[in-house]
Amino acid sequence: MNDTIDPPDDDDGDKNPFDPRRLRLSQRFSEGMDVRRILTTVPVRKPHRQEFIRVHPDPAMRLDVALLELKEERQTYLVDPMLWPELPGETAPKTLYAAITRQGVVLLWPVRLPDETGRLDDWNTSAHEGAKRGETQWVRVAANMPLGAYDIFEAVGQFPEPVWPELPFERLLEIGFRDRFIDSLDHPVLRRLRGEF
Amino acid sequence: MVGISEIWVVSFGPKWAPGIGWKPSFLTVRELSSRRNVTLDHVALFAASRPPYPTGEDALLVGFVGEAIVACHLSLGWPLPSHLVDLRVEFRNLANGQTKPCGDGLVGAVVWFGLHASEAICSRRTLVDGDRDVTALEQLFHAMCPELDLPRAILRGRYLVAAARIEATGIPIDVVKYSALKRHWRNIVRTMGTSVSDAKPSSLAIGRDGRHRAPLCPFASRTSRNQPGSAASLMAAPGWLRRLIKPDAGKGVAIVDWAQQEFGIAAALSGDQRMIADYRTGDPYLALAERYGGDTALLSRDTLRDAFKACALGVLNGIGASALARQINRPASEARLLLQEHRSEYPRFWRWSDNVESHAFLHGRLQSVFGWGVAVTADTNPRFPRNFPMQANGAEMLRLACSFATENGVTVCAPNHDALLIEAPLEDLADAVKTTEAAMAEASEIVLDGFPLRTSVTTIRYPDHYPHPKSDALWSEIDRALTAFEGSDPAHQRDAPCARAHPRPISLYVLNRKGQSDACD
Repeated sequence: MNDTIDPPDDDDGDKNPFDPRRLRLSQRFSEGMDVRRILTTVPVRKPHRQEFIRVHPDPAMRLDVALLELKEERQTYLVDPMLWPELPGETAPKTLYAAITRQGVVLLWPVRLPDETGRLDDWNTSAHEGAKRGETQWVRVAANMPLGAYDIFEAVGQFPEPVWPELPFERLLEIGFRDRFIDSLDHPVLRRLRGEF
Repeated sequence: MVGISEIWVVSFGPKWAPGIGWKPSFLTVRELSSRRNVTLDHVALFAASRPPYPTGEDALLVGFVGEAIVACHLSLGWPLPSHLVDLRVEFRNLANGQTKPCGDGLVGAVVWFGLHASEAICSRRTLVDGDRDVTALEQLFHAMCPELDLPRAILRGRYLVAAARIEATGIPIDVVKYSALKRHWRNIVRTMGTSVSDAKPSSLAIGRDGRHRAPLCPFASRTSRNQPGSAASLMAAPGWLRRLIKPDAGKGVAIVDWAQQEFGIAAALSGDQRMIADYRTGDPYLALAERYGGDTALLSRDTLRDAFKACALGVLNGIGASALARQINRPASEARLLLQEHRSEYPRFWRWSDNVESHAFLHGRLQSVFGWGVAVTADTNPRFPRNFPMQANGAEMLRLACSFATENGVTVCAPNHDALLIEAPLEDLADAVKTTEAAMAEASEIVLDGFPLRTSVTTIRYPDHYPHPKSDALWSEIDRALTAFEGSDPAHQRDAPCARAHPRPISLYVLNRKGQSDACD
C-alpha cells in the first residue's frame, strides 16, 4: 500500500478528519525502491542518425580493443588481446565508448583507431570528435557522404542529463559481448574463417 | 471513529422510476450499538417530516446503493445525511478486479464475505424484506469492517450525496424535438441508415417535466468512473443526441470541463517538469510539435500537433506504433519516431509509468489518491495499470468537484467524464460558472497535490441547444428529415405527450406520494 502524506498543519485547530486534503494517498509508487531495471542487453553499434546520444565522460568507461567484424552476419566479436598477434588483418583496433540514447538505451559505440601506419580517415576522426562532444552535450552523428565524414549535431535546447546505469565498464562489456568473445584460436568463428568447416 | 457515536443501517427498498428517479417503498433502520429498530410503512414514511435517526456529524448512515438513500431523503424533504457509507461501493472497491461469483449486488457481497445469503435474497418490496435487508446489511458491515477504510469510505459517500442531487436535477431537454425524433425514428433510420442506427432515443427516460434522468451508476467501472448505460443515459449515448439538451426559458446551461485533464494528471503525478511546463503553455501538444518541428519539414505544424496529441493521449493508454500509425494515418516508421520522441521528451513520466506497472504487478494492487483500489493479476493487460492512475484519479477529481459544486449551491445536471453540465437562471449563470470553476480547480489541486488544472467553459443560453460540432452535418440532415416527416404527418399538429410550454415543477413528480411512476411514455 502507498504511504499516506502527512496532513497539512491546521492553525485554527479545527481538524476535520474527513477533509479530503488529509486523506490523500501518495501516487509515487515507491519510486526506485521496489524494482530496478536490470540491464540485459547492450547493443554494440554506432548510434543511428536520428539518435541523440551522450558519451560517458569517465575515461574508465571506454576501452581500446580489437574487434572482429563478420559483415555478412552483422556480428561484432571481441578478441582477447593475447590473440591479436595471431590474427593480423582480421581484427580492427577500436575504441568502445559507453553511450546512452535519450530513450535510455545504453550502447557500446565502436570507433576505429589509427592503423599501424598511424592514419585515420575522416569518418573515424569525426566520429571520435562526436564522441568527445557527446561527453558534455546531447549529440547526433549523421553520415555526410559528399563530405566523407560524419556531421555532428548538438542539441541546442536544455535537455535532462542522462541517467547512467550503475555498472562498471567491464559489466557492460560482458553483457554486450556475452556470447561473442573470442578467447581461443579454436573458437568456431576463427575455425570457420580458416575454412576448417 | 472520530466524532461518530451512532451507526444506523438503513433500507428504503428504493426503486428507480425511469425519467423520475429513486422512490422509497418503506423504511427500516437499525442502530448498531443499541440495536434499536424503527420501521415505517409507505404511508407512515411519507407522513414523516423528519427521519427517525440523526443526520448530523455524529451519525453515520450505512446502506446499499447510497445515492438511492440520499434521493429518498430528497424526495421526502428530509435533511441529508452528513456521513454515509455505501457498502455496495465499498464491496466493489475491496473486490475490484477480481471475479465476483455472485455479482456485485447485496447477495454477491454477502457471499463474498462468507455470510449466509438467505437474508439478502429478498425482493426488497415489503417491510419483511426491509427487516431482512438491514439484518443482511448489519452482518455485511461487521464482516467488512476490518477491511474498511472508513474516512475514505465516508468521502465516497459524500459524492453519493452529490450524485443523488444530480440525478434528481436531471437534464433539460427540447421535448418537442425529442418527441418528433421518437415519433419518426423508424423513418429516420430507414432514410439515414447506419449513421444513426446506434442511437435509441426511445430508451432515453424523459420525465413529464421535460428533464432526462438516468442512473449515474457511480463507481461502476474498474477505475471508479460513473458508468451509465448507453441506452438509458443521454450522456453515454451517441454524441449527436446531446443536441436535444436545451435550457428552459430564462435559463442557461454551461459545460465546464478540465482542459487536457489526463495529460495534466500524468504530468503532475509523475512530476515530469517538462510535461508540467508543457501543460502550463495551454497547448502541450503544440509545444511538443514546435520543439520537434525542425526535423520534420514534411508535416505542417497543425498536422504535427494533431499527431502529437494522438501520441500523447495514446501513450497514456499504452498505444503501440502500429495503432498510432492507423490513428494518425501515417506510416508506422513515423509513429515509431513520435513515440520515441515522447519518451525522450518526458523521461521522468516514463520512469514513473514503468514504476506504476512494476508496483502493480509486484503488489497485485493499485490505488487512487483516495484509496480506490484494483487488483492486478498476471492476466491483467499491462496497459491497464499504466492508465489506471489517470482514469482513477480523474474520477476522484470529478467526484470532489461534484461535491464542492453542489454543496456550494450550483445546480449540476450531469457529470461527463472530465466535465460538469450545470444550469442556472441567465442572470446567475456567470456566477454559477465561476463557482463551478473554483470547485473544479480546488478538486484538481487536492487530487494532484497542489497542481490545479485549467478549465474551459461553453455556455448555452435559451433557446440554443447543446453544441456538438462533430455532428453538425449529421444533425442538419436529421433536422431536415424531421421537418419533412412532420410536414407530411397530420398528427404533428397535436401536442407531443412530453411537450409542455411550462413544465410542472420536479417536486410534483419526485414528491408524488402515491408512489406512481410519472414518466413520459
